Parts: sequence; structure tokens; C-alpha cells
Amino acid sequence: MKSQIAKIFRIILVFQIFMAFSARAADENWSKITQSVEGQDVNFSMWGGSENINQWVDKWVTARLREKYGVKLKRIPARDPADPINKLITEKQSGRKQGSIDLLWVNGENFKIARNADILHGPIAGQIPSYLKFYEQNAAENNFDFGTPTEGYEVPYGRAQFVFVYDSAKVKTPPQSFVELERWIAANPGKFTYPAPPDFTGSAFVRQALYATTGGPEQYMKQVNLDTLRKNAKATWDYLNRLKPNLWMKGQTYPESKARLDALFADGELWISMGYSPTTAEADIRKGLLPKTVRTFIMNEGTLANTHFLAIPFNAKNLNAALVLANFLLSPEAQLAKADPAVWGDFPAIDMAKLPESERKKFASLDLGISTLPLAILAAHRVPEIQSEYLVEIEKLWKKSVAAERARR
Amino acid sequence: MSLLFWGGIFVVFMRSLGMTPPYAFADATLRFYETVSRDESFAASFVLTARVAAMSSLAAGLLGSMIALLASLSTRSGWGIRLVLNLPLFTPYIVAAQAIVLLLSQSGLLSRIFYGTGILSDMMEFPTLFYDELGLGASLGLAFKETPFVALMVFPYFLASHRTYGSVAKTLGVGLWLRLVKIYLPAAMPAIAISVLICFTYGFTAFEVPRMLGRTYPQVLSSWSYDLYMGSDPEGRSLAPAIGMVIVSVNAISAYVFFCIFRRLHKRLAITRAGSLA
Repeated sequence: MKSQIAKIFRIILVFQIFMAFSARAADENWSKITQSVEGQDVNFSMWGGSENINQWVDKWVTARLREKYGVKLKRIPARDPADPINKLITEKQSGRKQGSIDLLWVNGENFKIARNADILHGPIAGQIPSYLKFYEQNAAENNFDFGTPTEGYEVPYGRAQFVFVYDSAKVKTPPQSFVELERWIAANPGKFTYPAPPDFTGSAFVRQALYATTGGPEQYMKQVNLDTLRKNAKATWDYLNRLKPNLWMKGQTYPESKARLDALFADGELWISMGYSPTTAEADIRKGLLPKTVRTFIMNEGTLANTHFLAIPFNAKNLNAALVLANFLLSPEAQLAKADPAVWGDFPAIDMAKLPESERKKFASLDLGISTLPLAILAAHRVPEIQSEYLVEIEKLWKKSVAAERARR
Repeated sequence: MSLLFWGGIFVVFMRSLGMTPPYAFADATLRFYETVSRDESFAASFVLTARVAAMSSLAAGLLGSMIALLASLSTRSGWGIRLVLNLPLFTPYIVAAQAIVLLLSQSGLLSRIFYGTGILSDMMEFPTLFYDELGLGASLGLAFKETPFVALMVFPYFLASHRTYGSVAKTLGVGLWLRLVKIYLPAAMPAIAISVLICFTYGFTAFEVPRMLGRTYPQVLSSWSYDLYMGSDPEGRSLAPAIGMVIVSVNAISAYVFFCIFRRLHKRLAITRAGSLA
């Protein structure tokens, strides 16, 4: 008995020494990496469609990376998040060893394509100190990306959640569920619509209508079964077609983009709008494009949430600099900075419970803006995204069963 | 320039056959064309696209020619007219479409003015002038941009014929109608026809204007192609180029047919004109 306890203690001791060494080894390894990058460039490929985000990377991130590590950040804007993926696939096919991209902003379908085409370096998660220290390694949100396991090939950069937007001066009690939404639309004809899928926002709205009308997201989380979806979704198309006569333009047409939806809401043609970010209306309120009475709401059924990530391509020219940049973007400092709606308003992926008290206070005192719901309410109403096979099918079926419906009749 | 042009078509063509570089012909397939042509919305999209292209180019041809004719009859050098006509050409199509939306939508400028002056009791009473099923809004939007183009293309011909035969005929007392049929139109016809053809082929490929002023369904081919390419379906990366090739083929065929007809017509025109002069 005694010897057994002694044995266990010895094992624990050995384990602790090992851990201490490996931690030190990791630290040493990391300091070697940070020392090696001075004077290097790092090419950061990211979707370039938002001026706020571009500005933040070009000024704030670039300056700090230069100061701290002597690394020169070069932002490579992509018009579509799929463009860099296509580029990397081409580079792989043509055998290019020294790639044009060192760090990549990616998620969902594009991550899946990237993994299938084997164009990512990794796993990298275990090499990034910020991730190991401040992130919940067991959270499904960090380990799955639209249903695809991340397996350490990408690290969480930020989170988004879908919210609805309304003007509290015009709408006293916004609908709390999809059933109430239907009633509200009937009572306020012409004041609601959603962008036509495959627009990103419109497609997300239709997915939530699917969850609401077919009994929640759980059934779609396991093995993909398109037959079940097709059968279930009839209820969704019924629902969306019932809305039609009272939608904007009587549902004969839909806004072609989120930008158009925003414009219609700002012009007062619509009274309820939507966006895939809890701070979607905040920037426009601050610029004076939307009245100060604009607020956001979510449905009792919950709203879609997803995580966006950073990954390193297989042929990154400046691998260490890419790790340093990823580590910095995941640090509390950077996560806090980009959470500010005046800067970007991207929700932190960092785990608050793992932060020191002083850092946590900074996040808590962040002014998310009058229109933004409290973090706790948002977190309690998150529903997961479904796999991209479903997405594709839903977009196809929407066109056939909803958009074309009136034309056929 | 021509490398970019043919190179672009080559890449799109290869993509539509499901091939990416390095091209291996074993991978070639026609299934993307099959998927596209079997799609329920293909016929509706094709008809709408053709209608928008035809309506916009004919409207632009008619209006543009009338403006050019009136201008050439009432000006000496025409540089002022040319300047005015040049201005809309500098506006990109997307700006023109956006301007139309800002001006004519239910929450647009006109609607606001009517509402502000009390003519309308609700801005939503303002009639919707686009988003129609037939593509009239989109056609008008395109014609708005194409009309000055046609006018500029045909103006020199009207002007030249007026300065030579036209003014002589006028002093001899030939009426406007006769001069139009016998002198001005024959002189400008080749230019008018080519301008209309250019407008038609452009209208067949046009994206921004029908996208912004048209309906969600049916949508023009280019808009459909864009949705497929930008959508979540990886197949879209080859389906979109297949639609692109359909557009290119239609334009190539219509240009060929046009030139065949035109060559005959031109000969006959040349003969009649020679006859009338003799």
C-alpha cells in the first residue's frame, strides 16, 4: 500500500518535472521563435470588405507588431474569402514552395475546402502560447467550425452572432419568436424582408427559420442527411411563403445584399432588419446614419453563432512570423482592442474565465454600445451552424420553393 | 489586350468543363452545362436576359438616333452636343443604377419630395418603377446609359450627310421625311445597327443594372452566374463559368448573324443610294 502511494507520488513528481521542463521548453522554443522573426515580413490574407477592420489591421496591429517583434505586416486584401483558398490550391497544384500568404483569416466552408485540399500547415494550436493560456481548449466552439473539426489547424480569432435590428421608436415590442414574427409581419405589411440567399445574411435568416419550423438544430448536427432536410424543410418553405404577401414589395423581390437591406432600414422602408454581428447597427448609429433609438433583439429559439479562425498555409514563407502574428491577434490586448465597436466590434473568442481579474475588468467595462445586447443574454441564446452540405441544399431549395413560387402560380 | 480577352475566355471555358490548371483533358466533362440547362430557372433566366438586352438596345437605338438626328440638324460643329452626350458615359453602370434607386424608389428623392409637398400621404404610395417581372426597369436603366452612346456613335454620320447631300436637298425643297428616308438614315444605318448590336451584346452580359433593378426571380443569366460563383456550393465554381460560356456563345452567334444580314443589307443600301443619286 505504502509503496503504491510512493509510486503514485513518484509518477506525479516525474510528470510534474516533465511538465515543468516541457513548459520551459515551450517557453524557450517560443522565445526562439520571437527572436528569429525580427526584420521579417508577414503576409496576412484577409477579407478586405470592411474599412474599419482594414484600418485596425493597418494601423493598430501593424504598429504593435513592428514595436514588439520588429515584424512588418503586409495586409493582402481578398474580395471574397474564397479567393485566397483558390489561390493556395493553385499554388499547391503548381508545386510552389514559397507561398504568397503566411497567415489566413478563414472559417466554415473555406476551412473545409482547405483541409480537404490539404493546404494548411499544422496542427498549430499547440504552438501558440496565447491560445494555450487564454482559450477553452475543450469548447465545441473552438473545436468545430460549421461542423468541421478544427484539429488544431486553425485557432479562434473572434465570434459572431446573428441579431435582429429594430427602431424602438417605431416598434414597441419586437417579436420574440418566429411565430410572433409572422404575426408582427401580418400586422405591419411591407415592413420586413430578408436578403435573398445566397447572400450571407439572408441565408443565415433562412437557416434560423428552418430551425424554428422543424424542431431545432440538434437533428442536423450528426450525419448529414439531405433527404431528412428536404422533407423537413417543406414546413420552412410554407412558413416563408406565408410571410410573402406581407413582406416588402409583397415578396415579389428581395434585397440582393445586406447593404441594400441596411439602406432600406435606414430609409425607413423596413422596420426590422438583421445582421450576423451583435454590433451590426452600432457603427451606423455612431455615424448618425441610424437613429439613437435603434436596438437589437434575438429570438427565444436562439440565433446562429459561429467562430472565425486563423490558419497558416502549407507553404508559408515566414512561418515563425505567422505564428507570432497569430499569437498576438489572440492575446487579450488584441482581443480587447477589436471588440470595441468604434474599432471593429468583433466579439472576443478569448475565455473570460481564464483572464486575470484586471484584464477581465477591461472587457467588462468595454462600451459595446446602446444597441448591443448584454454578453450573457447573447451567450445564453446561441445555436450552432450546420454543415455546408445543408447550406448548399437550403440555398438551392429556397430559390426553387420560395423565390420562384409566385412566378409559377 | 487580345491576350487578356482570349485568355479570359479560355480560362472560363476550361473552368466550365471542370478543369483547373494544370489542364488535364481526361477531367473534361459536360455535366456542368447539363446541370445548368436542366435547371428549372434556366429558360426563365434566358428569356428575361434576351428580353432585357433586346428592349434596352432597341430603345437606346431609337432614342439615341433621334437625339443625334435632331442635334445634327440644329448644330454646326456639334462639339457642345458631344460634350453633353459624353458626360453620362463617364458614369459607371453601377452608379447609374444606384442613382435610379435613390431617385425613383419608394423612399427615393422623388417620393420624398411628393410626400414633403403633400401630394402623397404616405411614401409607400409612390409607384414602384422597377423590380418588375418583365425586366422593364432594368431595360430602362440600361437604355439610360446606352442612349448617349448610340447618339455619339451615329452623330457624325448624320452630321456629315446633312452637311453634304442633306443641306443641298433642303435648299432644293426636299421635305424632312424624304431626306430622312433617302439621305440621313441610309448614311447612318450602318452605325446605328452596329451600335444597337454592341448594346445588345452588352445588355446580354450586363450585371449591375439588372441585379439592382430587377427581381430576385427570375434573374438574368449574369446575376445567376454570380450567385452560383459566390454561393456555398463548390460546384458553383464550374456552373458559373458554364453560364458565362452560354452568354459568350449567344453574343458570338448574334454578332455573326448580324454581320451576315448586315452585309447583304449594306450592299442593297449601297445600290439604292447609288441609284437615287444617279
